[in-house]
Formats: sequence, structure tokens, C-alpha cells
Amino acid sequence: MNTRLRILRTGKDWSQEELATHVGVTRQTINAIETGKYDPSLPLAIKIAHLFGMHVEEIFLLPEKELPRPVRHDVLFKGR
Amino acid sequence: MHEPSGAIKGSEFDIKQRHPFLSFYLSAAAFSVVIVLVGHMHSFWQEVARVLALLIGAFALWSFYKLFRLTDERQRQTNEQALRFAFLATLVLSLLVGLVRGFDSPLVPCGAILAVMLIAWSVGLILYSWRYR
Repeated sequence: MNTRLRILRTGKDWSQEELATHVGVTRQTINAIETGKYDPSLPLAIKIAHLFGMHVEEIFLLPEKELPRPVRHDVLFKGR
Repeated sequence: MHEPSGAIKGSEFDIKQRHPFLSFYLSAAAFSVVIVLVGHMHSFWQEVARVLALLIGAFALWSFYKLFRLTDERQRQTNEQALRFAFLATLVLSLLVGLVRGFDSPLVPCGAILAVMLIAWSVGLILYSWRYR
């Protein structure tokens, strides 16, 4: 998963330690998220997004090729 | 206040975790030793050692619970993977020992099994936390 977390964090002039304290994890976890080695859980991703006043998908991005093709609404609700 | 991303320094979290981590390791090691010693003792001292083992074992469990409560989600995941590794490694090792000795050998003391599990858990922790470095 790609993330803009490091850019956002440094933009706020926060250290990894400070960000970690805000969201209740260790500094190593923030480092692992920033380097793409660990994908945060949904609650943690929401906490981080909330802290920056953004949506989760504005911070954490899946590469285009890993995303499923969007299903058309009429196909999704066929037979209703 | 910036910090280089790769820098390793003791955080508040690390300091909080250090005490239960050490307590667990020391008490689990002591438990294994006392359990092995129980088999070599007689009468009164054996009972004393049994009570001591029970107390140390309870303290080890409490330390592990405290440690587990202080971990964050990534550490918890690493811990679970390390525990799985420890159980599997101990199972494989026990089966191998059983096969090599032809099933009719004297039983391996449970203290030794606990020690093997502790070592395997430590190895698992190192292996799985290495991924996130």
C-alpha cells in the first residue's frame, strides 16, 4: 500500500514519536507504515486520517492495478 | 521537530514495555528451572518447590498479560505469529525427539518443553519483527 503519511507528518512538523503518541501506537509502527512495510488496521487508519482532517483514501492508496473494476450500479442490484 | 526515519531510540512505549517484558522472561525461565528441579527433590522440599513453581508461573502469566496489554496492533500481530511459531516448533521438536527415542524413552520434563517454547517464541519474535525494520 502506498501512503502519504510521511509527507503529511513532516508538513505538520511532527516527529514519528509525536504522531505515534497521538494515535496510541509505537514509533516503530509509524515507521513501518511510512516505509510501506506494515498496513495499518482500519481503526488505526481512520484515527490517522481523523488526526489530519482527511479521508482514509487520501492518505492510504492502493496501486491502481490492485483495485477491482468498479461494478455498475444496475449490475450490482440486478434482480431487486 | 524532525527525526530521521531510521533512528532507533527508546520511546515512552518501549520504556513501559521493558519492565513486563523482563519480568516475563525471567519468571518463565525461573519457572522452567524450578519445574525441572522438582523432579530431583524429595519430600518436604519437593512440596516447597511445587508451591514456588506455582507462584512463579502465575507471575509469569500475569507479566505476559501485562506485556500483551501494552503492545500496539503491529506488535500484537508479531506476538501472535511468534506464538504460533513457538507452538509449531515445539510440536515438531517433540515429535522428532519421540521418534528418535523410539517412544519408550523416559519423558522429557515439562520444564524443558517450556524452555524450548520460550526460546522458540523469542526466535519467532526476532524473525517476525525483522520484517518491519
